[in-house]
Amino acid sequence: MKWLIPVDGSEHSLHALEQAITLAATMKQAPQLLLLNVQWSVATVNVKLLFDQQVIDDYQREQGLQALQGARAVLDAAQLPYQYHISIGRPAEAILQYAAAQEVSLIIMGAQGKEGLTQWLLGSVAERVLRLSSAPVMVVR
Amino acid sequence: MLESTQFWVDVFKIIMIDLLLSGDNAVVIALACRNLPQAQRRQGILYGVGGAIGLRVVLTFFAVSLLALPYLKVIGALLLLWIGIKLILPEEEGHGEGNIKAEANLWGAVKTIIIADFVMSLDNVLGVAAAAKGNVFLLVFGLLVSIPLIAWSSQLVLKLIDRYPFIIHAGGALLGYVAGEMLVSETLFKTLVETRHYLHWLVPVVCALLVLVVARVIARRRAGTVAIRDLADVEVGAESQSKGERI
Repeated sequence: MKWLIPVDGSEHSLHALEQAITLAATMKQAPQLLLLNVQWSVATVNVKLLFDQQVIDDYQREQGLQALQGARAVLDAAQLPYQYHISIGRPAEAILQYAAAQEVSLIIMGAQGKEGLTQWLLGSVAERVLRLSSAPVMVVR
Repeated sequence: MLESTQFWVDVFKIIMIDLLLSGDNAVVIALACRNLPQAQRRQGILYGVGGAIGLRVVLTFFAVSLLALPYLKVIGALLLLWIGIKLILPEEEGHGEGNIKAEANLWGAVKTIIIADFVMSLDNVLGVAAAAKGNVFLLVFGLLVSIPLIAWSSQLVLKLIDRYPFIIHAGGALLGYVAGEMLVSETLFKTLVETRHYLHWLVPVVCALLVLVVARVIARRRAGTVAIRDLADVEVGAESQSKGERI
């Protein structure tokens, strides 16, 4: 059984992860925990014109690892095995795509991410995942 | 001056142009400073932003004095039309092919930022110069607005555009409109425009529509969506774990 926990580095996503860990401990068979961080593409026309793809990818990977750091520390401290994954794209769409590819049985995520203004203007990622996901979604407040 | 509607319309235009044309500046600076040691990174960003702002002041000054020459407003207007069309066009698929490396020393990084800003700020400077129509206050205002965008712009603009694509169409049309205004103010056409007053709004509107139509025609030939890509896929601690421990 695979559980997907999207992580953006916010308190909310850590909270969702803690819920997932608590829940996982009650399962007869421990689920596989998959962490996913999605980075928005920064490769605009200008950026692509100026920089090599390698440089852009390295930068975004670094940003992704930074966002995953807190969640990984929690899992390491709990001595739980996990996988982590970094994608580039729109957050909700990337989460759904990865969930489908991995055939996860549950998505556990925070109700809101870290970005106040963006969220206010764009609506939350959780909302979108909830609406479009074919896998069950658990939203943690 | 502060009370007139026209003034506030111009202010709005300048903010829009700044927002749409300098969204990726901060990313370029971050990329250029990537390989600096942590201690120098902050310095590199600071010098880079400073250099970029200085360069913009100089470029704006040049743009304004050049636009005062005959014929050059026509060229400027055509450039603006193209910038507007390019803004609307969907990004072409493809990988980054630039050959700027992330520099490992401070001055290398600063140099990179300034070269990059030279390439990137031309469109912005031209747009602001056109929208300001020679008003010094508006020019300075345009520069001031672009400074925080260079320094801190998050990806908010990119995200907004993705969510509300009409923003970019509005921006393209705005650039077309400004190009039209520039065309009308060209001294060569002065007598022509003076006798036919309706040209003052007709030309800008036609130019705005032109941008939208041309962009649409070109965009139709290259459709496609931006794909989701994978950057990392790592398994951690699966084997070092004693499974019985946590049940």
